[in-house]
Amino acid sequence: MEKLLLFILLFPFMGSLATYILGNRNNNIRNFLNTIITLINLLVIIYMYPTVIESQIEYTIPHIMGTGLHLKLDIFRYMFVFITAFVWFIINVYSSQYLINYIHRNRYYFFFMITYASTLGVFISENLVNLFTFFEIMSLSSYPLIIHDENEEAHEAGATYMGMAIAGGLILLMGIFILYSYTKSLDINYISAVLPEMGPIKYLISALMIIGFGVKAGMVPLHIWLPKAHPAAPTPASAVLSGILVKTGIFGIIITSVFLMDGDIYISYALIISGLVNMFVGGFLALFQINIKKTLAYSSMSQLGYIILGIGLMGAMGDHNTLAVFGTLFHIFNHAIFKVMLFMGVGIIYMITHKLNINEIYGFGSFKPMLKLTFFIGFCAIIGLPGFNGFTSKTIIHHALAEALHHASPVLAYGGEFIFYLSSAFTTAYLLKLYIALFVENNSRYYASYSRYINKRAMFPMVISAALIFLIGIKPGIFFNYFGDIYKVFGIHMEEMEHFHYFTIGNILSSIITIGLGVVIYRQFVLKRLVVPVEGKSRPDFINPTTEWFSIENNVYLPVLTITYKIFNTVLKLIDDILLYSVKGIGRTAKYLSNIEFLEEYSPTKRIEIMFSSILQRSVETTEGREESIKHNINDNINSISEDIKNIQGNVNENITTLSKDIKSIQNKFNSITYSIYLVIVMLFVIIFRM
Amino acid sequence: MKLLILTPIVFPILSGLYIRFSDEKKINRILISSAFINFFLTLLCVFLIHDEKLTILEFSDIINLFLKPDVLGKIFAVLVSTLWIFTTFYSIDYMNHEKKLKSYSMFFMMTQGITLSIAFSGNLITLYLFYELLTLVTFPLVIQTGSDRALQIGKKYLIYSFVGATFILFGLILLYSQMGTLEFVPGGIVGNLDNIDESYYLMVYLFLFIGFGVKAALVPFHSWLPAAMVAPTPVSALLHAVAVVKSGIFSLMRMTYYVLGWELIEEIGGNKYTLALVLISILMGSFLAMGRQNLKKRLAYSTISQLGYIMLGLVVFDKSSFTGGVLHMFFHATIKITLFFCVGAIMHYEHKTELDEIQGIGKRMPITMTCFAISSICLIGIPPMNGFVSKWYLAIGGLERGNYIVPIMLLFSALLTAGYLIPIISTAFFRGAPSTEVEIKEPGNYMLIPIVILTAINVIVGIMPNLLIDIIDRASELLF
Repeated sequence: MEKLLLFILLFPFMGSLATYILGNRNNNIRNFLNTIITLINLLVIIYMYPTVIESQIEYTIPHIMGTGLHLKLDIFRYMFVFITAFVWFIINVYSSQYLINYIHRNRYYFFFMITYASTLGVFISENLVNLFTFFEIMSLSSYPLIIHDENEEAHEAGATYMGMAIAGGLILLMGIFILYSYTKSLDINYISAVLPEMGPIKYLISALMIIGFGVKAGMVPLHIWLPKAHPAAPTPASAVLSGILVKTGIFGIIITSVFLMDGDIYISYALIISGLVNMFVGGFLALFQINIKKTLAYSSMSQLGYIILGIGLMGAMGDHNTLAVFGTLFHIFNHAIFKVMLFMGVGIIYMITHKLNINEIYGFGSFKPMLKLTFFIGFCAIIGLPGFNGFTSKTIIHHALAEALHHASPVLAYGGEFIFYLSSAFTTAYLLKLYIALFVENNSRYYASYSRYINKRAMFPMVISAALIFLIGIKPGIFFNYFGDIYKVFGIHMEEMEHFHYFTIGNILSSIITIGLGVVIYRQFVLKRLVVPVEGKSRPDFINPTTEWFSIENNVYLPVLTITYKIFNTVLKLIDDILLYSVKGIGRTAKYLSNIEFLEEYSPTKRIEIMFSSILQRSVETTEGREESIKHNINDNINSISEDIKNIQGNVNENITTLSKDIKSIQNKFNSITYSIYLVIVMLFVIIFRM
Repeated sequence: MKLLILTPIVFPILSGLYIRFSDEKKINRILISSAFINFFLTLLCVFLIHDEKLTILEFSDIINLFLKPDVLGKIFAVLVSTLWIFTTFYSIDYMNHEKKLKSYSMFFMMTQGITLSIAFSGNLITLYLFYELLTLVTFPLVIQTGSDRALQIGKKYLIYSFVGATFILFGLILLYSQMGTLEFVPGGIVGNLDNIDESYYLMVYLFLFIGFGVKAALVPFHSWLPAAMVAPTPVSALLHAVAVVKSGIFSLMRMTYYVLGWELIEEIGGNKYTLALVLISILMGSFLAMGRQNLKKRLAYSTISQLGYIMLGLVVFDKSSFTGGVLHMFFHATIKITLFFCVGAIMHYEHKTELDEIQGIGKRMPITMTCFAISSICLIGIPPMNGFVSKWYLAIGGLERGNYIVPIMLLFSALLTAGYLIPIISTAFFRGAPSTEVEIKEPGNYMLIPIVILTAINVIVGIMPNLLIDIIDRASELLF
C-alpha cells in the first residue's frame, strides 16, 4: 500500500512524458491515454480508501533532495487527493472536446499532467521541503497553461502570475528556512509538537508561511494574479486553477495555522479578518465585471474567503471547533465541484462564440435546455439555495461563525455576521446578473442550437458534477459517511456534527433572506447603476467602472517595484561606472606621468630665457607695424637666439625622441606590470602612513 | 607512485604542444582523446593518492613548490576534468571554421593542466605561481578573434589579473614574514597564537581576499568578466564556469580555511567587510544582468551574482555554509556551462545574440531551449533542481550564525535571477508568430549531446545531492 502512494505521484509524471512523445504522432491516442491515466489514478486512490480509513499510510525514501522524501496520506489529506483526482479526470474528458481547435495541444497536455502530479504531491507530502518542491513545480508548470494563447493579454497575466508565484514561493521558503533553523526538523508532525512552545519567532514563521501560501489562495491584497490569470487561460486550465490549485494554498494555510501552530489565537483572528475581507472584496468586485470568466474569478476569491474564515474559526473556537473543521472542509469539497462546473459551462459558451463579454453574448443559452439546466444547478449551489450542496457547507460555517464570535467583542460579532450576509447576497447578485444575461435574455444571434459542438464529451462531466451537487445537497450525510473520520486527524469529537440539522426553519430562512437581499441588490444596484443605454439597441449595456478605480497592482506593486528597481539599478550602475572610470583614470594618469619629458640639459636661467623669448616673439607679432627700427634690431637678435635655440632643441629632441621611443616600446610590453608596480607603491605609501 | 600526481598536469601541456606541431586534421582526435585520458588520469590520482606530497622544486624556505592533493582539491580537479570533456566536444563543433585553430587548441589544453595544478597545490606559493600562469595561458584564448576590441579587452583582462596578483603577492609577503610557512593546513597555519596583532592580520586577510577576488569577480574588480565575453563561447563558458573564476574561488577557499583559518578571521572581524562586498556582488550582478539585452552579457553578470553565493560560504563561517558554498561551486559550474552552451548554439547556428531576436526560437530548437529552461530553473534554485540544495545549505548556515541578511539576500537575488532568466525562456517559447509547422533545426550532435548530458547531471545531482554532500563532509569535518 505504501508503494501505491508513490505510484499515484509518479504515474502521472511518467504518463505525461509518454503521452508527450506519443502526442507528436497522434492526437487522439494522446487524449485517450491521458484520460485513462487520470482514470487509473482515480481508481487507485479509491482503492486505497479502506486502508486510509483504518490508519494513515506513510512512505519515506531517505536522501532524496538532501532532506528525504516523506509522503503521508491520512483521511484529511485523502479528501484533497480524492477531489483533485476526480476533478482532473472530468476535466480531462472535457478538455479533449474543448481544445479541439487549439494549437500546441501537446505542450498543453504535458504541463496539464505535470500540474496534476505536483498538486497531488503537495497534498501528500509530510516533509515541508517536499511540500514546497511540489508547490513550486505546480506554480511553474501551470504557467504554460495560463499563457497558452500566447497573446498580449495572456503574456501580461502570465507575467503577473509568475512574479507573484515566485515571490510568494520565496517568502514561503524564508519561513521554512527560519523554521528549520529553529526546530532542526522538516517533519510536519514533529514541528507541530515543538513550534507552539516557542517564543515570538513562531509568529514570524507562520506569518511568512501564510503569506507564501496566501498568494496561491488569493488572499487580499495578494490576489492580483487571480482575476488576470483565469480569463487568460483556456477554460479547462482556469477550471482546475480555480477549483483545485488555489486549494493548495488553502491546504498550506490549514497546515500552518491548525497543525503547525496548533490553532494559535492571534493567527486565527488574523485569518478570520482576512477571510471576511476576501469574502467582501471578492463579492463586491464580482458585481462589476462584464467578462464572465472574471466574474467567476472574483467569485472564487469570495468563496475562498469563506474557507479562510473557516480556517480562522478552527483555531478561534479552541476545543469545540468541530463545526468549523467540517464546515471548512465541506466547503472546500463543494466549491471545487460547483466552481469547476460553472467554468465548464462558461467554457462551452466560449468554445462556440470565442467571446467572454457579457454584452456580446447575452442570451446565448436561452434555448439550450441542457446547458441551462446544468448551469442553473451550479448557480443554485453557489448561492446556497437549500437542496444544493453550497447551502449545507455555508450553513455550517455560518453556525460556527455565530458560535465563535458569540464571546468576542460586539463589533466583531455583528460586523462578521453582517459581512457574511452581505457577501452571500453579493454572490446571489453577481450570479443572477450572469445567469439572467446568459440564459434568460433573448438574443436573435444565438437561436441556432450548436448541438454539434456541445457533444457528450463536453456535457458528461457537467452532468456528473450537477448530479453530485444535487445529491450532496439533498443528503449532506453522504460526505460525512465517507470523510467523517477526519475528526480523528484533528483530535475532535464527532457528536456535535451528528446532531447538526441542516434543514431547520432558521437555516432555510436565513438562506432565503440572503437570496432575497441579493435579488434586491441585483435589481436596485446592478440593473440601475451599472448599465448605460446604447443607441439603436433596446438592451442597455453593462459597464465596469472598476477599471478606472484604484488598482493594487498598477498603483502600488508596480510603482514600488519600478522605483526600487530604478533606485537599486542607478546606485549599482553608478558604483560600476565610478569603478570603471577610476580604473581608466588611473591608467591614463600613469600613462601621462610616464610620458612627461624633462628638459634636463638646460640650466634654470637658460630655460627662463627661452620661455621669455618665445613670449616676446608672440608679443612682437601682435605689435606689428610699430617702431620698425627697434623691431628690426630685436628681430635680428631674436633670430640669432632662436636659431641657436633651434639648434640646441634639435639635438636635445633627437635624444629625447629616441629615449621616449625606447620607453614606449618597453611600456607597451610591460604596461600592465609597471601599472601594478605603481599600484604597489601607492599601497605601500598608504600603509606606511597608516602605521 | 607520487609522480602520478604530476601526470594530469603535465599530460595536457605536452599534448597541447604536440597539437601545435602536428597536422591540422588530427587536432580533433587528439583533443578528444587527451580530454578523456586526462579525465582518467585525474580519477587515478583522486583514488590512488592519499596524503602524499610531491616536491617540484625546493629552492629556499619560501620558494618551496610542492603538490599535495586533498579532498577539496580532488573535488575541484574532478569537476574541472569532467567539464573539460564536454567543452572539448562543444568547442570542436563551435570552432569548426575559425582561424588559428592550432594555437587555440594548444592553449585550451594547457589551461587544463594549469587549472589542475592549482587544484593540487600544496602551499600558497605554489598556488600563486600557477595562478599567474593561468592568466598567461588564458590570455591568448580571450583575444582569439584578434580584433581590435578583443585585443583591448585582453589588455584589460591582463591588467585586472596582474593587479589582483600584486595584491596577493603583497599579502603573501606580509604573511610569510610572520609565519615562515605558507603550507595548507586545515584550520589554518596561524593557529592559536597569543597576542596576535589584529590589524596586521586584518590587512593580510583583506589583501589576499581582494587579490583572489579579482579572478572571482568580486564587485569592485568584476568588470573584466562581462568584457571578456568577446571571446568565443567555449572560452566564455570555460572562463566563467570552470577554469578562471572557479580557480579564484578555490584559492579563496584555500586562503580562508587552510591558510589563515576561519577562527582567526572571525576573531579579527575580517569577514564583516568581505561579507558586505559579497552581498553587494550578489545584488549588483543580478541587477545589472536584468538590464542587459545581450544574452552572453546577461549570463556574465549573472555569474558575478552567483559567484557571490559561493563566496558567502567563505565569509559566513558555518559548516552548512561551507557545504553550501562548495556545492554551489560545483552546481554553478555545471549550470552555467550549460546555459552558455545553449546561448552559444543559438549564436552559432542562428546568429542571434540579443533577447528580442530570439522570439520563438524554442520551437525551432526545442531540445536546446528545453535544456536552457531546465538549467535556468536550476540556477533560480527552484526545487527539486540542484540550485535549491546549495541555497538551502547557504541560507541555513547564515541563520545558524544569526545572520538574517544572508537568507533574505539569497531569496531576493533568486527573485532577480528569475527576473532575468524567465523572460529569456518565455520569449524563446511563447512569443513570436504561432505556427503549427516549424522546421526543427537543432545544433549538431557535438554540441547537443554535451548540453543534454549536462542538463541531466543538473537534475540528477539535484535529486540526489547526498553523493556529493558526503564527500564534502569529509573536507568540512577537518575544518569545523
